[in-house]
Amino acid sequence: MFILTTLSDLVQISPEDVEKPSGESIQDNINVKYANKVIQKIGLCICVYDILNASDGLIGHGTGIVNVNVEFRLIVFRPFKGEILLAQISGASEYGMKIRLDFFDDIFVPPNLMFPKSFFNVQEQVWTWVNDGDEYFYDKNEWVRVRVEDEQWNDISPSPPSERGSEPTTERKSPYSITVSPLPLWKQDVLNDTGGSVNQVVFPAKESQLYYSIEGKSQPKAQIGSLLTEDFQGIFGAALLWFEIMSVLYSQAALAEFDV
Amino acid sequence: MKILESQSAVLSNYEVYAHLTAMRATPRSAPQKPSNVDTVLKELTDYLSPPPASRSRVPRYQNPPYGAAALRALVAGLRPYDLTKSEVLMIANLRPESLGLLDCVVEECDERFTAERQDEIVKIVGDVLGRDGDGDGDGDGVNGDGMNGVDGEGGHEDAPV
Repeated sequence: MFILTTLSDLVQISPEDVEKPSGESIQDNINVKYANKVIQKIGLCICVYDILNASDGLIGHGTGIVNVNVEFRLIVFRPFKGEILLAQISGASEYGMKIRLDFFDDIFVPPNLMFPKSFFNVQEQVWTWVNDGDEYFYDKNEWVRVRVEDEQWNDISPSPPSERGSEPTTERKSPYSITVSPLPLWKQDVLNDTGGSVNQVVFPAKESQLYYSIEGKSQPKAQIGSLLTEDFQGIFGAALLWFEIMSVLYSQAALAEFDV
Repeated sequence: MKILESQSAVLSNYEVYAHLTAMRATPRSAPQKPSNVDTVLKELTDYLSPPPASRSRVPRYQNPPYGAAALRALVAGLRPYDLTKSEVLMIANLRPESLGLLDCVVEECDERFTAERQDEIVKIVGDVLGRDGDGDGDGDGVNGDGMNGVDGEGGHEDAPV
């Protein structure tokens, strides 16, 4: 999720900061310039990690500003492709779901990456996933695990007036946004200890997890168990369930745009 | 500004959290002027901190109730399993407690590992980084530092050791 990036920059220490220890004032200057800002193709800068080296301070004519060339490393938020993040749902529309981290808001799930058989529920204004006739809601503020699929960069540095044209810019784009797809979030993960609420998000088990549970392996069994109806108990029922799950899986695989 | 190296290293969530905590603890000669760094540091610390008991439904227990030694022990413990660097990183960040999540984190988990091996990995993660939820609390860690700082999880009457 986080990387270190090595940068070099000219740091200007103004006279009122000269009395601070120089390491501290260099660090403050860098933090003010970079923290919470996006460098294109690098990521969202958080803060200074360490200072590698700094030149002597030079004072120019006319001002009392001390100029220092500094090499330093920054902590940068830049999740890699395929990384799994834990994030919160912040909104939904028919164009997809918006997801955020506490410090980063521009994460999206487009409709084509949602699970098959999910739809945007207009009355509730949430995305809804239908599984075996049960509806599961992606409620606002619910925590979900998502996998990073893609990233988009928009250079929003201002253009010169000659290129800008007369009409004012209509919308502000985000300099760095991430496209993600939802991942399974198992019941035992969210049912920590407050008991089951109705609207827990439970994502479809992948094919392999269904195999597990039928062979009697440990974890995802709880979920499958909750999906079982009483009719399906007993060996004959298990065989029936097997065929049903397989047929659902194959039909999903045919429809699915994500890899199971 | 010149970018010398766009990616010098990868940090786990714990390392970032430890850096932020250390930064706050460092004494300063003068108070910092308010700036955007405060915003991002507060929000990031919120994200990385173990959730307070009042938000116990939040499944954020990947976050550090463990120390740096535990991270090293995790890397050493997982070495025989031939996981890639990014997989180990995600395991350290997410602390998979179930085979389901492990299967998402580790690519082609079923082909690469037998069921027993997968159970072993989950067990190593639980032993080294501590488990949450299932009532066994955080008392089983070998990790020492930081354990006492963890909030008890909501309704459990888990008494920290």
